[in-house]
Amino acid sequence: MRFDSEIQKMHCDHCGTEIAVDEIKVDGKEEPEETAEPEKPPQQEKTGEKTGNFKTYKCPSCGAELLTDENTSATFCGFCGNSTLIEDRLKDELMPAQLIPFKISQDEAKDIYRQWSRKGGLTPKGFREQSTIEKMTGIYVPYWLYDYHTNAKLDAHCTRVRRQIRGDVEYIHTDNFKVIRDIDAEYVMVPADASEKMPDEVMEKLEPYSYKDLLDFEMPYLSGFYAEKYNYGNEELRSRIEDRVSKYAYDSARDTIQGYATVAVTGQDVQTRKDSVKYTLLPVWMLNYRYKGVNYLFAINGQTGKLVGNLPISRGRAAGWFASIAVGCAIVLTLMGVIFG
Amino acid sequence: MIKKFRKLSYIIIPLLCIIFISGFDSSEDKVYDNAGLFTQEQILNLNRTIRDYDAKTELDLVIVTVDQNNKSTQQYAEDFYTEHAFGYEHDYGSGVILVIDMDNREAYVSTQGIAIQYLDDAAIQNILDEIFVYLPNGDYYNSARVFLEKTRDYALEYINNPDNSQKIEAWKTEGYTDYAEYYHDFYEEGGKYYVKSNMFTYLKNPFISIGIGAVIALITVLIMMHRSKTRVTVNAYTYMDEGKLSVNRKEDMFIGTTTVTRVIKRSGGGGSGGRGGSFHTGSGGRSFGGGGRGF
Repeated sequence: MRFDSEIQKMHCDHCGTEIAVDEIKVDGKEEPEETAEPEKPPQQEKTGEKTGNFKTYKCPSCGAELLTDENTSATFCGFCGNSTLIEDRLKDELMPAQLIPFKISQDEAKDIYRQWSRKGGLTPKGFREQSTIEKMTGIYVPYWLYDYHTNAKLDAHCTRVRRQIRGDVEYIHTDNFKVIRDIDAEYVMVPADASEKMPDEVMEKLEPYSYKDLLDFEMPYLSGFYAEKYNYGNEELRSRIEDRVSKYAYDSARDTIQGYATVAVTGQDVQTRKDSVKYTLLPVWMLNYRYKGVNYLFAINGQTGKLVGNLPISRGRAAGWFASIAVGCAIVLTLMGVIFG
Repeated sequence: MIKKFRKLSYIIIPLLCIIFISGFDSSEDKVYDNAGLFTQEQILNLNRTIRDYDAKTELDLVIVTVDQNNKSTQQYAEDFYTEHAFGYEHDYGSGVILVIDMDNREAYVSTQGIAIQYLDDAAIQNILDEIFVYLPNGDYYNSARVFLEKTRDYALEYINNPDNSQKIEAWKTEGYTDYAEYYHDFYEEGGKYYVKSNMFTYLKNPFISIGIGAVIALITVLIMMHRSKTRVTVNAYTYMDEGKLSVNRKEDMFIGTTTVTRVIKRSGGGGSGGRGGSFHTGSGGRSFGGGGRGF
């Protein structure tokens, strides 16, 4: 049985049965809350206190660590294409607290990719003809979702300008203002990706995910998909998140200063306080490939379908466009000159 | 004594007649000093200079002073021209007159014929500037002298500019009798030499149209390259819990106004370089250009 994103339930390919995830209780794999393990892995606050048993695969060529449920087999590494993976089992691995299940099926993801790769005017011809689209992998990327409370205090010197003309003299009046703001704001579920292999810039561009589809984590969701093991704990990512949240707090406060010709911020003090953090899995369709020695990563938000990636730029095509537009414009302009000049 | 005078006059008067009749020639007096501002020697010098410059510029240069004038200085200058039928190439031809009017206390420079083209409004103001270095001090000789020099300079500058050769040739060969006809032929629709020079004529130049084409092409390709990249679409408000936003303190305190004053310069109007000076129809129905200034 695997999780089918189209019906949002578990689906058996042989007999067609559909079962909702929360009805599944896989034998013996209930969350072992009472197991007396002598060395429990250190629990990170409010993340998901449960631990569970995953099947893990490690890729010897690129170092990726993939997790999946007992019933799924990983056949190739989604990051580098290598098909010899080392299987193992992890016990008491920290379980995610929540996840957003896949809403976009693999076929839909392939369509999105195909349509997009056709669009570029500057894409080299050879690129579009590649058929590695088969290697599009559905992967749950580990994230920490933070709730932050912030306070931003701003001091600014602002001006408004008025003009007056009397006779031959122009008067320019500059009204000066001292502006103070003190704003409290809360930012909820701000994501930071805990994966080493997925580049941060790509992950940021996949945002936003809609959290209304956020569900408590259950192992069956993982069937048919891989999850990546998290590499960074929430404390490690904290400074990155705090920078981001501080900027948001500053922006929100700065936006309350309106109606001036110039605004010069003379002093700022932004404080942040972490309220909670949850280990979360977010769905991504991923396609890695190499074209002319350069690695291209394409990622599709598994919930919203937003695609992130950079198409290679063919110098030849760019030059072709440049030349044809330049010549075309030159001809049109010269004709205009002759007709109207 | 009287007998000696009679004998002399028998020689002198015929001589004078010969000189007068022979038309425009070197010994004609172009300085009409009615107000008595110059000495004899100064008049001689000015005439000598005028002879020299006339030949170089092919303009009839005249200097007039007057101390009783019940017309405007401009009117006086134009009527004077008409009465004397000045002009280098023929009567009522091209020339420049300076009038120093002690009654109205004004100096006026009047242009006729092709001189209207040579001296545009800015040039006339410039010439007046030079004249007025000397005029308020009563140095009439030098003010007349710089008038001649600057007029010659402007005329030669125009003549020596190869871009103007067509215009000068046309004036001579077509034999225009009035500047207004010339102006029409060159600058007005339907004129014989009229060339519409609007923005589109620049496009005829292949370098310019290729240059503009290249710039457009470059911008387009850069936009195409930029579009092939995806962008971040989240901001402070994506994750903000809007219900929990609270403004603890919001103060906008007015602390004072600073004022800067600036005198608006009115730009000097009239005239456009290359199109000659502004002109009007004056005495005798002819076209005159020029300008004056009080002292």
